Amino acid sequence: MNEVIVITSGKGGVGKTTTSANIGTSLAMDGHSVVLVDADIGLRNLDVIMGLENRIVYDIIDVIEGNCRLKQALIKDKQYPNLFLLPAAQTRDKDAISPDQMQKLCNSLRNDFEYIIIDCPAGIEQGFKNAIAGADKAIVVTTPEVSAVRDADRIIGLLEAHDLRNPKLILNRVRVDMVKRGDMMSIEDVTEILAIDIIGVVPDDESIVISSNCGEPAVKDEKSRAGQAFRNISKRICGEDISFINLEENATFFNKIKKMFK
Amino acid sequence: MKNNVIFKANQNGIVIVLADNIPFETLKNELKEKLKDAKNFFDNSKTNISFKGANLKENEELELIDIISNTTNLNISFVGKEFLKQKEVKVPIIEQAKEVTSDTLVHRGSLRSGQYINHKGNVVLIGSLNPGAKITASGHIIVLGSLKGVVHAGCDGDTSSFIASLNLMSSQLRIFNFITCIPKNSTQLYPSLAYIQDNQIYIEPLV
Repeated sequence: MNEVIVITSGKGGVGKTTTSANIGTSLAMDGHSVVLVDADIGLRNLDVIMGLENRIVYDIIDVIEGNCRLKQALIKDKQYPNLFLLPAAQTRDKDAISPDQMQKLCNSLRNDFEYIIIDCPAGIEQGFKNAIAGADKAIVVTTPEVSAVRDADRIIGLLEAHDLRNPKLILNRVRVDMVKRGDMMSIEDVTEILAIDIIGVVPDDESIVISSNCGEPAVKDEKSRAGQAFRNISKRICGEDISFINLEENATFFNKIKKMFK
Repeated sequence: MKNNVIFKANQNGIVIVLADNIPFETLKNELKEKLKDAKNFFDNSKTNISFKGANLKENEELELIDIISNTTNLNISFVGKEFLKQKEVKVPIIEQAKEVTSDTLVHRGSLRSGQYINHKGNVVLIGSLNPGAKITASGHIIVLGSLKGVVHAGCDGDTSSFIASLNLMSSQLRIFNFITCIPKNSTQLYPSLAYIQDNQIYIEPLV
């Protein structure tokens, strides 16, 4: 069953684009055919994170306006031939496309790909409405901050109003040490407020910044802990039952020894 | 400066392009003069030489080679009419530019992400082209700054259009319907020129 999944958050800067890139790449690594759609018209980033920026010739607006065929605008990933990107236009804005057009686009992509991942822009205006128009499922990304959780709550309400029921939650940038000290909301605190199923917890990880700058999603890095979390999330999207990674466990040998003496 | 004699280098050696319909004496003198200027450049290297353009008689060719070997320390290992079937650029692309009479848009200041210039004619950008910014022109594009965005020269089909920039950084270059990418790790921090030859985009330093 081919699915259109929108990655959204309401608040900006919580990691929607990073999540989209990593989940998409991870699904492709597992052999699924995937297309990443950047719906953030005018402030596109997904191409940069994927390292495909200088290969863009046509974009989503060219497809919608009929300047090119859909296949011409899809950019094949550097490494995985079953992973494609449909980039956003940078010289236009959110009003250049309507929800109806987006829905048609998603339906035509549905024929060729198992997973269509839509990277939603921040906010609840036109861009958000476009991004969710063609989606079957939604994933809400939030960080353990009051403001991000507040916005996520608003988004969940809007998703339900648009008939996108049971969105899944990703809690991004969790710092266990801060949670322990009581300085950061815990996973339980967040799920209690939002009351939706959690599909993944991603630790705060420097490797995300490094990999974003290189244009190589962190899931490609075996050692990255955030990458591991995203790989698990993509397996859960496919329906596998994977237990959550232990955030406390720091994989280094030294920490393991230290633990033994505690 | 007269340009009846032009030196070009390719991977096989030096090609000396001689203008057609010029008296041999003039060519000879100009070659002498140019060699004098470039004496240090050629230095002590070993190279192949070929002549192009004017139809030289055998003895004339030998005379020119004599001049070369007398004025420089160049060690000529082979002389030929042409090494490759590949066509040489007739005259440097920049000189062809004079023929283009369409109007030119000069933009002062950098173009930032999302900003876009679309112009019938040539475009000169005095500033940098940031990533995400774009210039489309039916003629040439000159960026007096860093080129990191997308440039599309000769968009209406003029394949003699060129793209020149002070620093060619990670970007995408298009001339007519030819496209090439400059990867992140191969930025060129010297003035460069991109043009079409043999249905390919060539990039060479502009010195």
